[in-house]
Parts: sequence; C-alpha cells; structure tokens
Amino acid sequence: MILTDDEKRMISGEVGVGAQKCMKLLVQWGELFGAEGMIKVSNAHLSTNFAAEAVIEMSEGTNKVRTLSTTHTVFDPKSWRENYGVVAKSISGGYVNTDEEKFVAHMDVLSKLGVLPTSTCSPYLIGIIPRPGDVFCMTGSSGQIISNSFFAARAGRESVSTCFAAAVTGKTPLMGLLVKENRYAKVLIQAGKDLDFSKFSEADYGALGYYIGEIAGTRNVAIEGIPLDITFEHGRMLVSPMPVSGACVMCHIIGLTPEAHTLEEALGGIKPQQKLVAGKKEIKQIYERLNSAENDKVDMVVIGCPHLSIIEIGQVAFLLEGKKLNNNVHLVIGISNTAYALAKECGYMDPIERAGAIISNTCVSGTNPFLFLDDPPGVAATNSARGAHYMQRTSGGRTKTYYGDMKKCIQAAISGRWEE
Amino acid sequence: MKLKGRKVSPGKAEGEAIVTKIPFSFLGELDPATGKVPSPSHDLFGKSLKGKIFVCPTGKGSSIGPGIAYIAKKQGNIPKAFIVGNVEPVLAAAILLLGIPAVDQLDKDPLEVIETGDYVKIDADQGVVEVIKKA
Repeated sequence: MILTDDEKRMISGEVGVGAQKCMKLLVQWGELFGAEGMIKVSNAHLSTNFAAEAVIEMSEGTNKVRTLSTTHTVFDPKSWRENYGVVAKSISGGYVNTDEEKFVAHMDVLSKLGVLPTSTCSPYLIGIIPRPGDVFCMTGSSGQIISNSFFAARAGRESVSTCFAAAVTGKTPLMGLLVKENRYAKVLIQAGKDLDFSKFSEADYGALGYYIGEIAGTRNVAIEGIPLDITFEHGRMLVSPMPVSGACVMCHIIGLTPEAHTLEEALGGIKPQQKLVAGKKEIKQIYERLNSAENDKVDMVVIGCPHLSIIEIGQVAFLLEGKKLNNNVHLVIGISNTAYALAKECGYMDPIERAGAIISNTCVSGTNPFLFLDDPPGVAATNSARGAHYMQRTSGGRTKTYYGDMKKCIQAAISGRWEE
Repeated sequence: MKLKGRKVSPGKAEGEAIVTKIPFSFLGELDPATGKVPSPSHDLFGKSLKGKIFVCPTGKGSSIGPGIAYIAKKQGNIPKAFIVGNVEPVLAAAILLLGIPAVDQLDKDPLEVIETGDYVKIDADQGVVEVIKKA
C-alpha cells in the first residue's frame, strides 16, 4: 500500500503508540481487500460498546481524535435506572456493558478524546450530514445504508474497531464501497404494479425493504418504481431493514439516490445478476413473519428505530395529545438529545411525556433493556421492520412482535390491545 | 498434507482443528465468558473454540464482532488461530485486533480437507498450513 508521509509517521510510532496500533491495523486490513492507499475520513461514528480498555490501548499518546467523531450509544445503564427505574443485569449475552460506573468512565474517556456525545444512530438528523463522496466510517448499519443511499456519502462494511482506528488516525483504507466500481447495483427490484404507494405507510415501506434485503444478501440493490415524492422518513424506513434481513448497505432508489438518476447509472451499464418484481404478495409474507404475536394484548410499544426525526416526533405528539398510556404498556421512544431539545421547543414533548412515554437516546430495539428482564414483555408492537427483527432475535423468542404503522402502534399503547 | 494460501494475520500456531460450515460472527456465535458456541441452531452448538485452530468459510453479521472478540480475548476464551475460506472485512478486523495467526484463500478448500479433531500447524507468514489427519 502506498502511504503518505503523515501515515508513515503514524506507522513509525512518532505520534504515539495508539495511533501506531490503529494505522497498522488499518494497513493490514486494507491490504487484505486490495486497498492501494488510505483516504481521509469525514466522520467516524463510534459504538459505545467497544470496550473502554480497547479504546485506551488504541488511543495511547493521542490527545484528540483526528476527524469529527460521534457516538452511537447502545445502552446507558445510568439513565435507564435514574429516569425509569429499569435495571438490566445482562444484555445480549453480556457483551453490552450494564455497569454504571464503567459506563460513565467509558464516556469520559471518549469525551476527553474529543468524541462528541451525540448518542444517536441517526447523526444525519442532528446536523451531521455527509456531502456526496464524503467517507463516513459508521457503526450502525441503518446509518451506513442511509448515508450511501440518500447522501451518496461513502460508508463501507465497518466494524467497531476499524471505526475507532479511523477516529484516531483520521484515515481508512480505500476499499469496498468507498470505490466507485463497487457501488453499482447487482440486483434489480421492480415495485409491483399492484402496489398503491399513495396509501403506503412507513410500515409498508419497511416490509418492502425487509423483503428486498433478504433477496439482496450482501449485494448492492436498485429499486425501480418508488414514487419520487416519497418523504425522507418513509425512504429511510424502506432502506433501514435491508442490512438486517440481509447484509445490504447500498440501495439505489432510481430517480432519488444521487448516484442513480437513471437505472443505467445505478447499474454502471452492467446487466444485473438478478431481477425480480416485489408486490403485494411479497409484502404480505413479511407482515406475517414480523407479526409473530398470537394474543392481542400488547405489553410494550417501540417507536424510533432508527431514532425519530422532528417530523415523526410531531406525529407521535399529535396521536398522544390529551391521551394516557394503558397502565400495562410501556411506550419506548428513541430520540436523540438534539431532536429532543427541538421537540421540546416545539411543544411536541409535552403531550408525549404527559401520556407517560419512556424517551431514550439509546437503542430502543435490539438492546432495549426490557427485553432482558427476568419477566420480559411477552408482546411488543413496533412500526420498524428493523426493530421487530431485532426484538424477536435478541429476546431469544421470549418477546413476540406486532408490526404496523405508527398510528396502530400508538393506539395499542393507549388501549393495551392490537387491533387489526 | 500441506496447503498454501494467503496471510490474513501474522504468526505461527498449532493445535487441534474445529470446523464449521457456517459463516462466522462473533456476535451470538462465541460466548466471551466461556469460549463456547451459544447458538442452538449452530453446527458447533456447545463446543468450545478456546485454544483451537478454528476453520470457517467466511464471516458475516454485526459490526460489533471485533468488540466481542476483544472481550473474549481478555478472558482467554478465543481460538489460537483462524483458517478461513475467504475472509470478509468484519471478521478480518476482528482477527487483526486479536493479533492471532490466520490464513485464507488456500489452494484446497479447508472445509473439505480439514475435519474437527485433525492436528493443524499454521505458519501464517509463509501462508502455509500442515494438516495431520486424526488417527
């Protein structure tokens, strides 16, 4: 690999042992995947779940991160206990830190390095928006596919350690989805003629996306036939399930994705490996799988996977105006601190908080602490296909799910019942 | 039998092989507290990877993988080395963070020629694997 003088200085250990470790790791990693050099990183989005000890080892001798670095908080044991009295002893087989002191110390280490405590999976909603071509090293696959598909930023198949190494060095190897030739679609999905998008909810888009992700697997995908006036909120519910039902983090929505003005541009002039139509039947099949609950009693409702935009918070506020949650239901809503502050100013938070909702800036689906209590919710309802997928799995099948649009979910939180 | 491949991560190791046909993710497929495979649907369910030469086709899944690998290493519950069919970025990142020897892209499919219980010597720097079949 060809390295610049700056990169060589890092390898030599001149700028600290941590930076040396990180750059060595990135060079070894890049060489395996044919990278010819490194590229400047615009933003490193870091999981708070990469052990503090590893963070300390890899940043030894580094005072400040070398690119804009932000956090993605998987779980915050302190705020869940202090605000809502929820204490989970072990989350997801123990890999998530549930110790409060350790958590606070960990955040402190990151903060001293200049990592911004954004605590959201959706940094693009709080003003951290990549420009086309920007390199985004992101923990969190929803952020990866949204950055690639809506902003034409370049987000590759990252991991917690390589993202952290990118924060320390400001660099990442030029490989995978960072290279134009690897961004073209290999699978083409055509929206079925039987779909009436004028009546589509976010859950309908999510079910369509979930189906497409399964077909795509690790391959990039293109979708033809999505209405060009789709809202950003619906658009991200369409793409965000693709990396969980499959491992796809690049979706060209023809006419909308900046790299896909036309189908030809999305495919790079190459014939797709696979082409198929997704219509009502395919969507129905996904609804059946994401609706695993059997009795209509709902114990928990989860909204905000990924974290809500200000528009979505307004919708929740409208649905909860003057209402009280059912005594047996927890309504858990994922909102970043920044969006929360704006929503408070807008008067949106008052009806939501008065109704009795739980607001969290951590993950509300896969590592939602309720799922890991001795007596977990038997049934959780959500408007997120991604969320339903995670909750079914991380709860080890103890929590069954209902899947439908936000209106249905909020109604279930008020009545305690799921109504078809 | 000798196999020739590519270095993924440097070093030498030898030991007993354990083989899975399933693409591997540290999340959900290695319990950092025990080194065992905790997933009931996995072909190595309940078996320990600790101190073994682990043979798998490729990686998959969550970006948290290297984070779990790190925690497992601190508790001494990781394989001694990896032999991979063809490594992908998240598994590669985990192996490099562990700093244990690993090879991939061998001239023969390791899943075909190596069986659980075989004795394997790996010299990742030379990209060489020697397989001594179990008796």
